[in-house]
Amino acid sequence: MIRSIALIGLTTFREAVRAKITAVLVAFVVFCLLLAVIVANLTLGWPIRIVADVALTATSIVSTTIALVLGIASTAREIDRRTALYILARPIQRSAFILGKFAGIGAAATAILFPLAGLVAILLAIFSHSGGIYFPLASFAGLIALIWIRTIVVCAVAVATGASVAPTISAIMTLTVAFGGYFSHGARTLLSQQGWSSAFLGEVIYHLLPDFAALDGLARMVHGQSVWTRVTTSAAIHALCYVAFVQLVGCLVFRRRELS
Amino acid sequence: MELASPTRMHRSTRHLLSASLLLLLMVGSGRVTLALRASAGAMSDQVRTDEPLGAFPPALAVGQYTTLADFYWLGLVSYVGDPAQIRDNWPNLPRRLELVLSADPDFEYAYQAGGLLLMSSAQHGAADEVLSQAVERYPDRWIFPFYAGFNAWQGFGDIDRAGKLLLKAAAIVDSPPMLSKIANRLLVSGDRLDQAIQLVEALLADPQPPLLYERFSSELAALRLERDLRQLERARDNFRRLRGRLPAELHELLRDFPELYSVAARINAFYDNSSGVFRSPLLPKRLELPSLDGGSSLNKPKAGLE
Repeated sequence: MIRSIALIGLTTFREAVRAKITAVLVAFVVFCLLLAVIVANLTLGWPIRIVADVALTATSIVSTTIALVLGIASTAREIDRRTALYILARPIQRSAFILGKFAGIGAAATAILFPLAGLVAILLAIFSHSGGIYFPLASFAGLIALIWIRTIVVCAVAVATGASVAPTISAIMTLTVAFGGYFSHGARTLLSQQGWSSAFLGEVIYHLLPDFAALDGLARMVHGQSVWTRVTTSAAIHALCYVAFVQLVGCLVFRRRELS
Repeated sequence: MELASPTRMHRSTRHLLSASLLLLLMVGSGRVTLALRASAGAMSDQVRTDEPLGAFPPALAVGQYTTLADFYWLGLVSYVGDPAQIRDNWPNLPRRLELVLSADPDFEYAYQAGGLLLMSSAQHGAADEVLSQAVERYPDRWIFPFYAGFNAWQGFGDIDRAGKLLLKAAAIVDSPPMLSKIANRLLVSGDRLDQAIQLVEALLADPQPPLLYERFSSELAALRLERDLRQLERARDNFRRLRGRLPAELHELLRDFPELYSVAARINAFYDNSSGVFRSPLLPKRLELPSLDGGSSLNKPKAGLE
């Protein structure tokens, strides 16, 4: 099974890296970096903050979008267009198909995220005039790790839902997780003040969605605070468990799915 | 060489004509737009930059609220640079600044630059609000109580509050040494010498780092010397009122006011009978602060002594 996962993962990785949408999104980040440089030169005071904010926001959005688009395209669309049947006709377990797809898309998103992060670090070094990246290296590395975790969560949801439901529904579900993740804690807090049934609903929403608000360290890095706190660590563990759970549910649903 | 058929030529001509017509229309409509914009003049610019575009709830920024604040900040910078707004003293600057700070309440530079811009445009109430928030949020940054104190003095003439805020700034470890001097001179120039002494004594009563302790101790000594010199000056004025002339020498004054012997001895007072001014070698320079009109608020030759 491991070999099947590796083979499917490698093929998916190659397809994902060669996809036109990947090139377009990477070009968008490069455009945003240039924009950050221009805008930072127009601002009043503290230009490095603008560079860090715009560059890292673009990197975060693009890596999440890559995971979302490629995750859905490589599973839901392949199943919808029946091209997945050529792979599944071979002696390959359906769960290996899902896990291979997840590994391939996850690896592609990682392979895109880290060079982009390197590019951002170079830009910050240019703007800091001190040779370093101005912000503590541990904070910067921690922030990139948090972006990676968010990307992997979105990738897991895109692949799992893509294998289980129609592409449109999969896209809606993944977008819900990608955006709703930022509001899960806020919704829980708000609903907890409304009575027991609302509080229960808040708890359900919080546990159905990842806690992306806790996994966002950009503001903390920009304000010179530590990016990795106990809350962040706990949220990261929660997110990784969430990934495993979503993949498991995806595999179980896909095993029972009628493809003919 | 194959010749183009008449039908083909006719089609090409039609395409060329259509393209030319479209180009003309495009350029024409562009010119009309430009002309309309020019006729609207500064008004169109005012519409563009006067009002903030509207608050985007920071919660909807999906975690990227510092970036949102940056975009609001860029809007504010563009607003501040608009010649029409400079002429009108930036009427919407408080609202724009509020927008930036609602997106990122930890945007330290926005408090600093925003506070200064508001002060410079004589919006002292808004400046006070912003700077007071910053004083609370950044208790280890001396620049905010310094600005807030300056604003209280310049904008409201509130010397008590200004002095308190400047002394608060002076009590922050990395503040420039001159801050405590400025604070004291401000209070002294506003005839709040006793209050200045009380404030510095209160600061010294709290545990302070050695550097600050030394700084405040020397300031307290200067304030006490100033108080003693003023006490002698008041006695001189009383002497003049009673006798109709200035005392010929210090001893003549002290004969009438024997309770001041110890004071004069303590500060090693020197009396200049030609000008009627008291000095002490322990305080080479009297405490004074240039007033806003460029003059000096203290040690001006008194009308009766000229």
